[in-house]
Amino acid sequence: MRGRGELIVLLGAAILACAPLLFGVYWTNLLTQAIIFGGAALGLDILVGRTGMPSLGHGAFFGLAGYGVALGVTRWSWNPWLAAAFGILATIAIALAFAPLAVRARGLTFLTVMLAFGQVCWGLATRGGEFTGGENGLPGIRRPSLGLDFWDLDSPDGFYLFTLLVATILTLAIARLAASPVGLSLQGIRDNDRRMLALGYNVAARRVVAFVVAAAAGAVYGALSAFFNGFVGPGSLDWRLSAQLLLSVVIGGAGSLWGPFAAGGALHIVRTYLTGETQRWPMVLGALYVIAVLVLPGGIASIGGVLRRRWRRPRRQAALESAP
Amino acid sequence: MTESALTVDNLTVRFGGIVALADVSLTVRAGSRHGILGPNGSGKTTLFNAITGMIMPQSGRVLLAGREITRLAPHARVSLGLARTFQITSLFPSLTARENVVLAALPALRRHRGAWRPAADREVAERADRLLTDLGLSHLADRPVVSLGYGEQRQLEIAVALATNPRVLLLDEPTAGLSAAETRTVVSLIQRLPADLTIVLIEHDLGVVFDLAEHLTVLAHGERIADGPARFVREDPIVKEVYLGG
Repeated sequence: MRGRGELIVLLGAAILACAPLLFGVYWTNLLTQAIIFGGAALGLDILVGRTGMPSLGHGAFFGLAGYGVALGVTRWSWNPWLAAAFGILATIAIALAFAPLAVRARGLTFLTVMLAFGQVCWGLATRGGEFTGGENGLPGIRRPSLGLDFWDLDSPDGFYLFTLLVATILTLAIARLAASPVGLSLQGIRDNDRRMLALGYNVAARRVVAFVVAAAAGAVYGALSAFFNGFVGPGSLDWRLSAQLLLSVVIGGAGSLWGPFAAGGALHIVRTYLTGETQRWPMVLGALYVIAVLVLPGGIASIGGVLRRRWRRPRRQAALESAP
Repeated sequence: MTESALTVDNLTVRFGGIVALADVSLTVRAGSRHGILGPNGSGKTTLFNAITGMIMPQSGRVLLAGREITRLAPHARVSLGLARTFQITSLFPSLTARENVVLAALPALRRHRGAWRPAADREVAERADRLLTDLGLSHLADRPVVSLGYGEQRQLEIAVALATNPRVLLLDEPTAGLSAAETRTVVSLIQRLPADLTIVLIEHDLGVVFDLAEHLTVLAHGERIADGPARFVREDPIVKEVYLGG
């Protein structure tokens, strides 16, 4: 069962790896970002879908790691690898420090606490003066080098494949976590936290684990995004990014992992097209959300089950009618 | 005198000014089937809550196999071998029956930690499946709990409690809300449970109580009004008046 899940991830990765052969630079770059946002949504699903804690501030971890990378490379002239490690580890440390406080809240309260956390980070970035570049952000982030002649991270194809590699490793790790005792217990906590407590699980500690894992995934993709753009700005800490990630989880199918990945990627592609045409992207996002909740309450991930039932029902009906 | 699996010693529980349990004592012999009877509001579920640590009593003691557990946290009592089911079904609705049993079994097996190995490895999965098969529930293993009927959920509730590997099992109205046929299924399931498992059972259905319990404690208004072998308690004039309606 588990072996099959891993096989599907690897198969998906293999198919995506062929994309640069088929598409030009524009689509390769677009897919790079789609994987980044899809991966971040998949990480968030551990917290939202599996553990039942909806966060409207997840973009903060994405942005914080980006700023960590940018400060390291541009302000302190570090090697990009070191800056990446710093950005990711510092973000994980911040998540670890904030988690015990945040997980005391549930449901809407948790959602609001996380929104506030995100807004504080956004405020610090915009008011940070020269240090954070204020509204202008920090440009000029050099990409790291693998030191391989055939794999140049400065080329669109090279960076795309690197992003795909990181996303594949992270997805396999998260899938493995999801199937572990800790992963199963997160679902138990979502369904019935008092019963989990009575069974002997440390519910608060498990919530912290879910929180930090989701934050760590967000941080990795935030660092990738900073390298991809060569720039970080307050936009990466904007609450609308958090909303987009949360809606990716809902539209994709909370708890299914692959659904949020697909929805996160697809939403980014749709957004890229729409922002060229109209200023009303948030409205379209809202409409997509309403449609998804009405038509597919279980998200994209439930589409297989819904179709199967649709297909079976008429047949059973026919069987009943033909019976004497 | 046979060994006592569970002893409740002068237990008093008050909620504000209301006395829910007043000086209640009882002794459950190891391996026995012990029924708790009493009208609504007589303190039966409060007694279970105090025994399992969901609420703390104002005075008195609870002993599990001679060991005092009055102030222990609920999960610590679970690991000492005390399990219960709930009057209102308390399962994990979106998980499958097997996953419900696995979640309950992991802490008892000391395998509930770990983020890098499968939760249901062969040993745990086999144990869960054996338990479901023993209770005649193996056909439900892969079904999510939300899709199960109420009677099936009540049976699974017992399986989940057993998965914690208890020595004493408390059943809070296991047949409440069930049809006559479902009640018979659950009663025969309880009758098939291992003989060395001590069972304390709250039940409203007198037929069920007299089928299952050999020893009865009767509560009324938080006080113990009768205690003894089922056939004697049944004939007790006070019990007849208070509970059986004279």
